[in-house]
Amino acid sequence: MSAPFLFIGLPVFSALIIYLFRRSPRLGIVLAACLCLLLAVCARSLLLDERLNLLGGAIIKSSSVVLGRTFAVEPINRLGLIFIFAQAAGLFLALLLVEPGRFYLSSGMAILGLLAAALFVQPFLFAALFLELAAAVAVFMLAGETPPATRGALRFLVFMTLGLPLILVTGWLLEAGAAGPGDESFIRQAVVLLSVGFAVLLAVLPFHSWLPIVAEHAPPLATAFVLTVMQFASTFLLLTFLNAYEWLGQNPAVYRALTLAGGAMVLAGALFAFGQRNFGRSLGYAIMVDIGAILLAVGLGTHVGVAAALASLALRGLALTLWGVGLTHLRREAGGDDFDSLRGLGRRYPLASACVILGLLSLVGFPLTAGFPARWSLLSLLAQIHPTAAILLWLGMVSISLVCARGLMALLMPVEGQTEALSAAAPAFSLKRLASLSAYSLSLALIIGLGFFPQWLLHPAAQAAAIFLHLGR
Amino acid sequence: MMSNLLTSLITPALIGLLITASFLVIINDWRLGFVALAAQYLLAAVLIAQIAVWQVVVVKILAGLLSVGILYLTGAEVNFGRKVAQPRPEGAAPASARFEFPTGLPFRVLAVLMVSLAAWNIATQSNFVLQGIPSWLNVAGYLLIALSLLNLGLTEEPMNAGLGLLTLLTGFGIFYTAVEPSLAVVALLAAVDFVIALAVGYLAFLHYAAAEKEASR
Repeated sequence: MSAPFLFIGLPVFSALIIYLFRRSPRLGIVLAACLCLLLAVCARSLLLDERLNLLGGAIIKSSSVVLGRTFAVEPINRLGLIFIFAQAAGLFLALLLVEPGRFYLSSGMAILGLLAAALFVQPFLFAALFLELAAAVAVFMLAGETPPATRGALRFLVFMTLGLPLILVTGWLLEAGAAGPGDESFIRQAVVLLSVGFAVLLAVLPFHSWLPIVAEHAPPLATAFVLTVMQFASTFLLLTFLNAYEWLGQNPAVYRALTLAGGAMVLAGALFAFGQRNFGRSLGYAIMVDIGAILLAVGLGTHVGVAAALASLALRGLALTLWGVGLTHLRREAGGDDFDSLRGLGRRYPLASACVILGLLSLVGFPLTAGFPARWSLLSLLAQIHPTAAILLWLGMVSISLVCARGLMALLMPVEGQTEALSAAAPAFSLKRLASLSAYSLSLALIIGLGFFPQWLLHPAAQAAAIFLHLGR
Repeated sequence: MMSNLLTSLITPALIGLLITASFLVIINDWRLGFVALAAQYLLAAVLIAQIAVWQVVVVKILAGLLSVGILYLTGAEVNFGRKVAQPRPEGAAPASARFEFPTGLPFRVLAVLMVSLAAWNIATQSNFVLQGIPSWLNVAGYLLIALSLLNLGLTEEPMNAGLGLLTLLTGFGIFYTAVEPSLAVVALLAAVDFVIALAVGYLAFLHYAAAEKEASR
């Protein structure tokens, strides 16, 4: 058996099996989450190309060849796999608190297999093809069925498809450049195409328009999956590029461009978010600030910066899972996620409301939340190297925090005459409700606990960043 | 003799691609769009046949026609995006014979002309072409990509946007087969076409099934 088959084939195959369990969703959820955890553990500890006594002396090969293309598991890929499968397991487990969509689990598993293929394929420029396939499969979870909402899913698909040709052509230009080392025009064209390609994949300004639309129209946990797992794969691909090509990874102009793009994203996110009165769109702009922060971190061109970026990406999963669970609950009750329609619901559903607010705050790195330590370390680094970028990032954090404050006010202030109705309609006690309350409380404790004990996450992130040996100016 | 025949088909295929891609921007009728897209896949295959082995051409044609088939089946499920049948006014033509022109037809025609000219011009500039590729492939690729981008910019309706996306991938496929003719990449690009057609079909189905349900209430 080969490891690529394990990490690609097993999730894709299980997607079909899990679809058959759609009538008993809890079983499907547990199966999917357990499989993801198992694969994350395998990615962390499985010995490859060595005899395994546990399997009767069998050898799991680290690579396999399909139609002339090699799929290989390397140490750098293992890191990506651990992130992707662990985040997906968390997102799947969160479905125990809300009703999953018909295709959520099966398309989620298929996406994981395709993302694993994107990490393994060599040359890794062909990863763009697998990312595109994953984006097309993601449409099935992003399209809301009740009520039907297709706008966000369509916009997402269009933008991901636009990025595909740019990255694939880059691969050809690099090969052509290697064949004729004297001609630098190929390399110049490759850098331009690669930059635009990654700008599209990472939703960098001006290719960001799908973010608020998806966040507003798609089911919240599907949005969380795409913005966590799929965006992680794209960012990881960028880091792999910078690490693999010395002329790219050691080029100061690349890091200047990343800093510029990051600053623009943070500023735009802060400005657009400022007047928002909708939790969905607010998340779209908060993600813009977060993407900007990650680009600023990578743009520092140091391992400390990469560690801050990886920590932010890991914590994005936790924040978005909380936000997704809470907003699904509130959206189901109110029929929308603008502040006016959610008015007063915070009194009736305090834990769901707290999840939405704390999820958003953690995403932008508000103090005392899980996102703060990583954001604080980035702000400290930026203050020394790019003070303007640090101010922009701080503005982004303030802008989203103000939106959260307005949202919290709306959630807590009922419209006149609604107070009695809200207290009268308080849900009755049941075992299911107790389990749900415990899960909500545990998640909230985790997001606050990580804010107090950041070393649980920052230390592994620093170790992970060390894998990118050749990255940095 | 076969290669002479194929070479003589280059110019007609280029003109055909220009017409079909323009047609997809100007006309919103799904059934005509499916025919135009199928024709586009066949015409693109004629160009690809000049530079690739026949197996690649067959894969491209099959994947393309399969995608059109998926979209057609979806279209048939939702009455090809038309409103739920209502009593026909006296003297009006039956539904199958009526064409629906989109709003802003003169604008669309003018935009198609301008974009086509711009794409043609860019495809003949040495700074913008992919070197080592025949000029007619550059022209075909640029035309399809430019017109599909125009189409995507003018619509938010899932099926028409899907037709635009598949046109974009056809244009890119023409370029890319010339530089990377390996079977693995051809198979993956075919899979991308197929999965995008499925995704677009699903979106169109959701969009119009909901609209029909609302209208029938």
